[in-house]
Amino acid sequence: MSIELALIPIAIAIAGAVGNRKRVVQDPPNAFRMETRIKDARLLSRALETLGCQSVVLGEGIGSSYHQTQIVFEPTQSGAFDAIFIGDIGAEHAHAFLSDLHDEYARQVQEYVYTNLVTRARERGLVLENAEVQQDNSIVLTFSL
Amino acid sequence: MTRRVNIRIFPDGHIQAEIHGIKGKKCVEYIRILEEILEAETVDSAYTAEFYENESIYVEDMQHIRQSGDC
Repeated sequence: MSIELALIPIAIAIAGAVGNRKRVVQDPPNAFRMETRIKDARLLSRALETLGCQSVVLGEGIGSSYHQTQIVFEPTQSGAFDAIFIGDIGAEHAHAFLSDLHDEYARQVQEYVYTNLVTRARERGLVLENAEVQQDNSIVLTFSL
Repeated sequence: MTRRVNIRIFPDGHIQAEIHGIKGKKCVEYIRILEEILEAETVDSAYTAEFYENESIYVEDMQHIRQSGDC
């Protein structure tokens, strides 16, 4: 063995914690803002729709709703989206929603990375020898170089 | 030794990769290729003993194999 690597897809922010409360002066009084590690708007929309939430593009952000609460995903300078909950939702429910959303988003990232990898590896001359889904739902691929 | 890369993509999005059978600078080049095709950033790496094997030794070995007709 030569090198072992740990990598994080660029669609996921390396730093930051999911659900950290933030305060921005411009936010409406009945809103609260939470940090996410989500960086890809297209995969975010897919994850929202998989959870049964409609999503609409709002400029550089994404709008959605959860029960009676409006949610705006606003891009930040770090590249990750903040989730702004506007309406009658408790912090606990908002946190639980974000946790479910992150799980689904990560699955979307996994699928995206896998699909891209198979296509791009072929283009770079890597030959796929084997691909298996493990019990923990991770995907293991072996390429010869 | 067979030149091979094993990649494991976890459901939480993170990725592990192991590059086998490649020594020295070539191995570092493959890190860049993997980052590109995975659209990912390396956040940790562990270089194993094989990485530090002198490439000139590798070349000498290859010459020896060629001379002995094992190639």
